[in-house]
Amino acid sequence: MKQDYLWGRWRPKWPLLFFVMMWGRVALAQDTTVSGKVTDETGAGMPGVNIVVKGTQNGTVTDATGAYILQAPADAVLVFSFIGYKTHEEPVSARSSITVSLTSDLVNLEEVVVTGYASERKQDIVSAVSTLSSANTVALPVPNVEQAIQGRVAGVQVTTSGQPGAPSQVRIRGFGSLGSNAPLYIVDGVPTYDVSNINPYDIESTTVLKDAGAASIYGARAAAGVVVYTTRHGKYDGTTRIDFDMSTGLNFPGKGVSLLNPQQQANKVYEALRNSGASTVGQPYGADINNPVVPDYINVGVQQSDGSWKPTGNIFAGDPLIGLARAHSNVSYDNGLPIVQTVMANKAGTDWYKEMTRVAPVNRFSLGMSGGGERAHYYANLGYYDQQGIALNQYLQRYNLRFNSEFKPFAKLRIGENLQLSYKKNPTIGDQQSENQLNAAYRMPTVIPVRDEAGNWAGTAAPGFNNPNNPVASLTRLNKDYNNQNSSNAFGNAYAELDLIKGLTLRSSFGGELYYTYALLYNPRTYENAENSSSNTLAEGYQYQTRWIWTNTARYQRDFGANSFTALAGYESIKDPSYSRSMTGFGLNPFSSDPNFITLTNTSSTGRQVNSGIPNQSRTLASVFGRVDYDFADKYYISVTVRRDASSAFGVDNRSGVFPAFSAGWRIKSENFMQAVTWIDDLKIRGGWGQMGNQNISPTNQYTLYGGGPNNGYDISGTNNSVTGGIIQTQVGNTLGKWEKNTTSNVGLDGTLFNGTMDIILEFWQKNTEGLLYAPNIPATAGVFTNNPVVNVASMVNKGIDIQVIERFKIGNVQVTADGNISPLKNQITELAPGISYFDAGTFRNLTFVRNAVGQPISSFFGYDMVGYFKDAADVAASPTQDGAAPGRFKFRDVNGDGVITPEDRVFMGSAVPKFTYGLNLNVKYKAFSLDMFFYGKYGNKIINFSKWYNNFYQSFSGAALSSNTLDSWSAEHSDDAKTPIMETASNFSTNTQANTWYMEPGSYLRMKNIQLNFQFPQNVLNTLHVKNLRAYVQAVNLFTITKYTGKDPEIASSVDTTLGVDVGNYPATRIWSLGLNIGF
Amino acid sequence: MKKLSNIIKNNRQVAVAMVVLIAFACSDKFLEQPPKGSLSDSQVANAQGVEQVLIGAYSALRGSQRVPGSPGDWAQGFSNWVYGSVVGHESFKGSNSGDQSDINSLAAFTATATNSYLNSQWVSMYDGVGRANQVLKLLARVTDGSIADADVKRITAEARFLRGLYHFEAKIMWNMVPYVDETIDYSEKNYNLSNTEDIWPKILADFEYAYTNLPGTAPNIGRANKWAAGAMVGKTHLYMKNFAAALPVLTDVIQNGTNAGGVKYALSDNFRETFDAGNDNSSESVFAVQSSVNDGSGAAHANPDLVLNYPYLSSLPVNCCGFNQPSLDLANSYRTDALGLPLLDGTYNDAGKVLADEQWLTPTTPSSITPDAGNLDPRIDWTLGRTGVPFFDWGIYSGPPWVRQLSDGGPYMVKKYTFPKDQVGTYTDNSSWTAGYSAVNQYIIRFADVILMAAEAEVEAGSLTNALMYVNMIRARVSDPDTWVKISDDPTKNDWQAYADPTVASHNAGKYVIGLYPAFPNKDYARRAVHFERKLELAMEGHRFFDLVRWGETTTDNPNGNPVNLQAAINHNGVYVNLARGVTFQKGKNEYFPVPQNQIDLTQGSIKQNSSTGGGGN
Repeated sequence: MKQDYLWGRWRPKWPLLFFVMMWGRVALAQDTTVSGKVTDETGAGMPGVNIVVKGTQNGTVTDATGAYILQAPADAVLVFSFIGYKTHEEPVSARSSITVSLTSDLVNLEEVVVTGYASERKQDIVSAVSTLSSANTVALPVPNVEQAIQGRVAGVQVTTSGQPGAPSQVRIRGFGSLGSNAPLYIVDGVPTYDVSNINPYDIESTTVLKDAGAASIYGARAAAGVVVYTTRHGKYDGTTRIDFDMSTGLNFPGKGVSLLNPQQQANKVYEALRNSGASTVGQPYGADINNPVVPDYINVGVQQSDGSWKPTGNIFAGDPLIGLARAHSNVSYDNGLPIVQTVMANKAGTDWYKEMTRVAPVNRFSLGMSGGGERAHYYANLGYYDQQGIALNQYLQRYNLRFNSEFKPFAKLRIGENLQLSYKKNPTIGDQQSENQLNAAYRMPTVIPVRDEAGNWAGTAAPGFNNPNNPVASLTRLNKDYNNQNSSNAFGNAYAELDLIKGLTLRSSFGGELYYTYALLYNPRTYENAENSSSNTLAEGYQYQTRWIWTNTARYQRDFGANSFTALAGYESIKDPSYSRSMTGFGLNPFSSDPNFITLTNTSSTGRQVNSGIPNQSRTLASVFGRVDYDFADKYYISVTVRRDASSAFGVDNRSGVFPAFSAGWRIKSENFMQAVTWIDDLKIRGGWGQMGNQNISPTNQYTLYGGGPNNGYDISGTNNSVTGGIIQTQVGNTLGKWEKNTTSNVGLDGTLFNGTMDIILEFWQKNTEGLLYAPNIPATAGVFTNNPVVNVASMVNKGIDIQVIERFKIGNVQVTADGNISPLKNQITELAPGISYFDAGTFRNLTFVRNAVGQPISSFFGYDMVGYFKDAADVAASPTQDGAAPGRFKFRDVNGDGVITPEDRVFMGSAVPKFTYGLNLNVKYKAFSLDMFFYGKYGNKIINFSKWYNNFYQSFSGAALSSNTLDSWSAEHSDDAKTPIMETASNFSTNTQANTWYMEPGSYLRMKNIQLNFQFPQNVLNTLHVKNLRAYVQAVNLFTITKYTGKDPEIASSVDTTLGVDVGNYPATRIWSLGLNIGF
Repeated sequence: MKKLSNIIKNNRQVAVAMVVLIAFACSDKFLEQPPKGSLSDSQVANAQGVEQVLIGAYSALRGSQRVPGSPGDWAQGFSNWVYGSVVGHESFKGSNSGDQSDINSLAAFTATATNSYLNSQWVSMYDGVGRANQVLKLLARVTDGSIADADVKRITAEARFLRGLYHFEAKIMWNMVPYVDETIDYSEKNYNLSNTEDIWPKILADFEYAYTNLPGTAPNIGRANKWAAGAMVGKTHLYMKNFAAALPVLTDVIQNGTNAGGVKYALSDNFRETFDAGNDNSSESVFAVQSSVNDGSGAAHANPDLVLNYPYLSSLPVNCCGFNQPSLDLANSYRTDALGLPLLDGTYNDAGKVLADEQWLTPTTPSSITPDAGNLDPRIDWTLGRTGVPFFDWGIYSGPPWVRQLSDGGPYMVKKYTFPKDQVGTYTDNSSWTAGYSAVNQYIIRFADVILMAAEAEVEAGSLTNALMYVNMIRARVSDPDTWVKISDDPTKNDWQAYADPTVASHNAGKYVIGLYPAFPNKDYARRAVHFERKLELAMEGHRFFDLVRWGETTTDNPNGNPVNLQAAINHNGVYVNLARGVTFQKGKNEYFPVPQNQIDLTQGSIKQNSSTGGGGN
């Protein structure tokens, strides 16, 4: 029976029997037998309710009908608890039958919230902390846990691209740093900056620590906020659960880009050429120089007098050249023959976005099991997530295995572990702000078909259509054999906890991560494009990394009468990464492209490159920290935190930093004079001040370094094919670098009103970052380094209000819960470096849109103020002198009134930082049905729709696709409301070379993120099926978006915070329809 | 706390463990994480380190790639295809007008100080300066005598040569630029220099030091030697208009100079082969950017600044990206008279004399044209692609299909510094995004340049006879019919084979008529002849704009009265090509480029804008 002590016993099919057996064991404690039933507000039996005898660990769980039976002393108090319901205490009072009814409570004041190194009752918290229920964590069929925070936590901005597996940018309370503003994630006590491998179903609780009072216990790394996750565990209560969750759905790519059809395009090309006095001869649109005609063929290989073959356009049916080309059709480079294609015009027009996308499946499955006995409990879960992207051949497939367990060999000792293993395949397309395949959908002329007559790819090899690449071809080539991006990850910790004396618990935890990633990319040589690659290339790379953390804490809790103390002290050592190594290789032209053959070794020996490196320098951190929480009579609260961190990233003199925080709260409701105010159930005012640090700089910042490598070599011996090694100074050390300090103040109010039907959480906060670690540009005369030294110079201020209101009401049998939040934010850079007032970023195609400047929000858009189009020559003459001015071109505002448009006339046009973000969660419950609706929005931000640069001007890429906006291009007759300037060939200051307000659009939007209809199967069905719980649902994600933004999607992801909000090839958020099922045994 | 101390007393093992852990957590050793994958200061301050840092200083000759916000490799380096050729209107930007549009305003003399190209080039050059100074700084720290005195001298001289060279490029771009020597260091915070001083004397001092101290033969062919330094001394004197001072040193280089391998300077026999990777570091190479391919650097040293400058037809071995198209004026300049002499009076742009290819640009573009049948200097067909002439072994150049947008770039394509198809993969690097990465060296100075500089100095301060001799040396080399472009008459051999093998029946691809000048009747004629010869011989090598500014031959009322000048070229180009239309060079304003606003701001104003440009209009 020893085994049983460790593992308990579980028989999912006969849970009742099991409970009875458990009861038999519990019965050793003599006493009376109590039985009864637990129901919800509607009177339905509630399965799975926890019942314990207060002050002991004796307890049980209700069965599928809500019934229970247990042994308890006649004078005991039973505690009934269930997530989402108010905990109910009921004295036994010598009764043998006790039936209770639980009332639902979304904000449970007794709810325990996991915070830094500890957990606290929600009502005792005096700092800025928000939690997310596990139901919300899995509400959307998305792979990443951090996406669940979007719109549900006031003060947090989350931006996610639609690319499967792409990590979101999570920004807690603005942008404190010019470097990374990614929050620190703590998963079961182990810190990480990447939570993309976590199975959302494994998450028990999510807590966002927003101010210093809550987060400064993580001192050094807390400046951008902390998100604390705990994963699911079993219980020492003899219960066993098996949960199976699945959803299956489809991703819809949505409407694409509105481009001119082939004939419209031909007309506009002629219009542009004529407007510029240029000849229309030579364009691929027939022989009539006045009336363009879409030809039958846009590319026919024609043999020249010198024997070579040349793609020739503008060919009409019946031309004998077509037959000749067909006879020589060839797209292979291997046979020594010329590339010869026959490509018909697609007169109906190709919808490139549609061709390169698909309706793609999204599936997720999770099978979890948990249980426990008196001496052990465990949780195990197997998860699978598969999202096929809307763009061809890219997807996320992830397998997760989690095993958490805890053992209690002695009453006062607990030993446990949390372990997650994951494996993921996630081939993706290019960077969001690059000219990736999605960007090509803006640029490919509709007249080009996807394939030529012979079924080979067609593209801009057809003359006259400029240089976009066929995105269907490039995505198709990136198939699973040729585009691998795999990673494996083991993450977790092991710990021991000892209750040494009463109230004192010692804990030691050792955790870490092993991470391995492999990538292979094989790119066959192209033939269909205007600019083709010149080789078949194979790139392979791998990276291996480990990191560890050792945390030791002592926690002491003691009440003296009405005085309650909690003290925590700890020390921690972190090495992140502990080991790090990468290898990459690149080779050309393997003999065969067979995926079973291609390896780097099998590539040509000429041009092969192999590199190994250390992608991440080790960084160590040694810390001590402490915290004292005191409260008097649940009325007055004081909390003091201090942490001292020493980091290897700084020189020996500035190595350590001390980060204090103070918070205080006054629970007014506990005062006697408030007892009469019955409409207030709870009211608490709280405030705090504290400091947090940031060390997100290169760990080598203090060192002056030199680097070698072939780039810094030189072919000094004139060999033509090798370099002699060279060395350059890559960085100058800044030994004086020290901690970036982030001072936050927070004043908050928590109220529960009107008999628990309304909750209000209101917080005013300010965050000042000083001595901000930043690498200012330095004049070239100081030397040019790979890494400019990071110095403590800049500063930034963020101010905001976090408002959350929860309202619950009933209309007949319909129960409604509305949970809304809104977060106004003001961000401003207050200092950069001495004498430096700005730095520019976000340059695309020679146009620079972003200026990060003192007095402005981060990532502000900077350029000329376009006031209209020049009407006519008289308007040009009457306006300030502007280079390239002509009718139909952009007219800029002469801001300084000097009569000439110069760079001094540029203005701050707007900012990518929203004035506020908001979310609304509506839950409507009627009998077995419930409807969830979740809205998310941003207001007041701007977007640079850079995609307009490519296809709203003929001259940007002459001959490439034109947007349907150009149907409303400027003309003398159609001037005032023109969408685009005059169609023409000139590219100058007044046309398409300057950043200006014409590119900028409002970025506000309101999106229905989720609508979900759930059906909870009734008890009698559950009984028949022998299951505890069964729920089915249908859901639609991103059903609609209300926005004035004309690009594909207003949610613009950016890899860095200093170039936010520029849309180049943004992967749109997609609509997903899915069906789901949860079964619990 | 009493209890806690009891506990510790009673649990010695726990106490010991805690002490050990605390000690570990606070250990300084744990917090010292040595940098990995890099070298420290002390590891390079030795003989070997200094030599490698010197190589690093040479490495910047390709144009450093580490400029934030840079438009790309094509904005920086020594090829000067933008700043010398396009701005000098010997070529058009090419491609289509919106592509790399910052070049448009440079060529239209309307660029502002915020033009991204200018900052790229500035940073690239001062990166080179900084690397050269780094050599000197480290050298000073090696005091253990481990570097032989002769090597100290050589290394110093090479570093100073490079420092001079990078400054030289900055000087001719912006005129008033700061001079950075080895006393300037980031850690000294003394880098906010001013640009109020004319730095020619300092540049000259660097070159003169190198000229005095470098050996004639260097350990490696790619290094600067005495004679490369001498040529730069001469060139600097020319820019300073010290013709008398330039003459002896240029004469010394011509008479006694050898390349770094010890081979006496001489013109190559064959004009084309001067631009063939297989003929790098020939007797004609005075100083060149050493280019290499397939060297493990991912084409970093394979002329990354020139990769856009190839024809556009998709069936070609390189089909990107149609930039740097020779201008109409340049092509017409190759017209020769019955004696085979160029039309120094500028009439080559007149109706009846222009090349047949201009017909492509008439309002009713013909579907085909008859290749030009008039007299031409044979160098034209190694310099640019024109209709009816084989483009090496790439096929017969046929005008419009080879260019990206006729109305934006005209009908020609640069051929100098491109390569024949049969060199693909051997002298080219296919490991990057485009196929135009090549191994051919880029000349900073070649011997023909030295000869023409000497001719210039002779005209201004020496003898017209010598000048005549020098110019005719250049012309004589291209008078050999075996070196002209051929079209095969043998159906079994292609044109390229016909060129390579004189025994194959063939005819010339054009009507090549080239002759030597019989005499220079006067100084004015000689000056025009020498200037014109530079235009023809050094076309598309990035010299044109800087030569024109140096000579003052920018506007039609130029001091030399030369009808061949920048504005005249622009006027003709603008008849057909819209990017040149209406472009006016303003004397006193457009000679130099605006200093990048970014650098003015970063030095908190200690660097001033060129007063002449006022920050707007180069």
